Amino acid sequence: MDNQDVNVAAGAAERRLVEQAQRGDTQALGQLYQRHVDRVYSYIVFRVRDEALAEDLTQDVFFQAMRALESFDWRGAVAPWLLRIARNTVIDHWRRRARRPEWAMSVLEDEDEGDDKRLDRIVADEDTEAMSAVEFLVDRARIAAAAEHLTELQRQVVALRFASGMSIKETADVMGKSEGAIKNLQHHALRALRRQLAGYEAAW
Amino acid sequence: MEPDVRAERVQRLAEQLAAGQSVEQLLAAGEPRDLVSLAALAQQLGRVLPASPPPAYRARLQADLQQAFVAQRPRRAPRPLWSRWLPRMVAATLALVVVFGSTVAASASSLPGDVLYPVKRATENVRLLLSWSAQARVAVQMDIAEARLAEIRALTARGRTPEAALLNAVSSAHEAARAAAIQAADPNLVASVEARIAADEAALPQGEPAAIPDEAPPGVATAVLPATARPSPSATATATEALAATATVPVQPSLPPATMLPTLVPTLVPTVVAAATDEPEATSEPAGGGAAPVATEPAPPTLTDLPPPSVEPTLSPGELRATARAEYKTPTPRPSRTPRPRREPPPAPGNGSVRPTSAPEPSATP
Repeated sequence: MDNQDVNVAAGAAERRLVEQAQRGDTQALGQLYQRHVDRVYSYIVFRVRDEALAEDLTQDVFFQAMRALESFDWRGAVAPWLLRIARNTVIDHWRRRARRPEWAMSVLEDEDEGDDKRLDRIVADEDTEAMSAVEFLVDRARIAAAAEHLTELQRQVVALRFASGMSIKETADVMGKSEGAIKNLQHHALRALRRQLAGYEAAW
Repeated sequence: MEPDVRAERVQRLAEQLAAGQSVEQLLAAGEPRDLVSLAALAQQLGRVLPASPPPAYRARLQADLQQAFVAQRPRRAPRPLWSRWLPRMVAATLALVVVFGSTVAASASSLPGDVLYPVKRATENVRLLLSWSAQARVAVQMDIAEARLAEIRALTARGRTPEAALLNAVSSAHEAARAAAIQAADPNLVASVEARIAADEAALPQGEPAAIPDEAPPGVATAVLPATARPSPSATATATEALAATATVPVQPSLPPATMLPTLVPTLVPTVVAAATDEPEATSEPAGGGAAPVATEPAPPTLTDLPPPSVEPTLSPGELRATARAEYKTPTPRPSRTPRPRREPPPAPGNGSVRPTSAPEPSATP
């Protein structure tokens, strides 16, 4: 498969960059940064909804990564590693603040996949053909507002999959879950979002 | 349709849209509208959510990151431990050897009481320990004896009194050398060791005034030596004694040792002069005329008179003794300064012509 070959080549190139950076090559480090800064920032800004804060946390992520680069073991890609750091950095930030913004709260905060299945049943029952639009008037602010109704894990999946462009496999890697679990979380997140966005649509 | 299956299907539809298929194609292909709708939403989220930080921020963070990376770089590049420590250990060892070596070298000329003196003695002990054969020990012990003798000579030359331990060290080394020579069972070695020991002992000041003349060059003014050899405070009495004693010796007081005296003289002479002015020009001199007058004038019957004798006619031993006694018996304010006398004798060779050199002193007589 062509696509696969491209990925392999890209992976090999990135691995070289990592090895060069580990040997102290500043230029290689710069290239790795340029490859990944956007996806890291995108993840964070979607999670914290504050650009200045997102810039600070993005900086934290890259400095942590730089210091940990020496002990980084190549496992196929750099992005999942960076986003794991980003995910933990956001969680740590909220922990330090001891209080999350209200919009980041969720009644399903600590829910697991079992909760998602329950939610899935409810949502499926409520979904109608009428809600199944194929065109959405979406922008970041509207999505962010709709995301308030997601669970923490769903928000993580949305951020990783759609803001950072991670594959199912990579997302599973970052979150430490199976690919199936990620697909389920994604499915439920999409349903919840659609409901919210359709609501906007309706209210419009 | 089971939830898991639907989730799987949504993901596959999303991939198809991402691969370029249209919603219409998927619907036409019979895909459930509900699921195609979710896939379409996923695709739109994927277009809208990716963001990018402001370019200025982006560039500044990269610069900061690379700068910090350079700063921390020394700690990376995991090299084997020895490659980092070996050079340092080699350098440290070399430094140690150099420092130690130069310390040992510097200690060679040290004298008892010097900071490096213990190093010198320790070095000797190391040599001794490294000498396995009796012959080698003989050589080292004789070197040690020689070193102690040299120290004694050096101390004496500086006006210090060698301690008894130093003298004992010479004889201990001699004894050890002798024993080693005997152990070596080499008649020639024993003989040469005995010969050297005898020579050393001859040169060794026994701590008695009598021994000192031996060390001094044959012609040296006997009066000079005792004083220089024992400048200690207690020397006053002994010096007088010695002087008297040696003065009796029929040796001619016409010598070079005076060279080491000059320093003492200047301050002393003038005072003597003041004390003994009663003698008007005891020593009238021919050439000394110029500046000398004042200085020469003082020359009393005291030891300062010694010069004239050396001049040429030389005083008879008896006269010398007489003058010496005269001076030392008189409760002059500075009997302790007995060494004084020697300072003028030196000019022995030249007649009065030499005298003038001592003349400059007058300036001291107010």
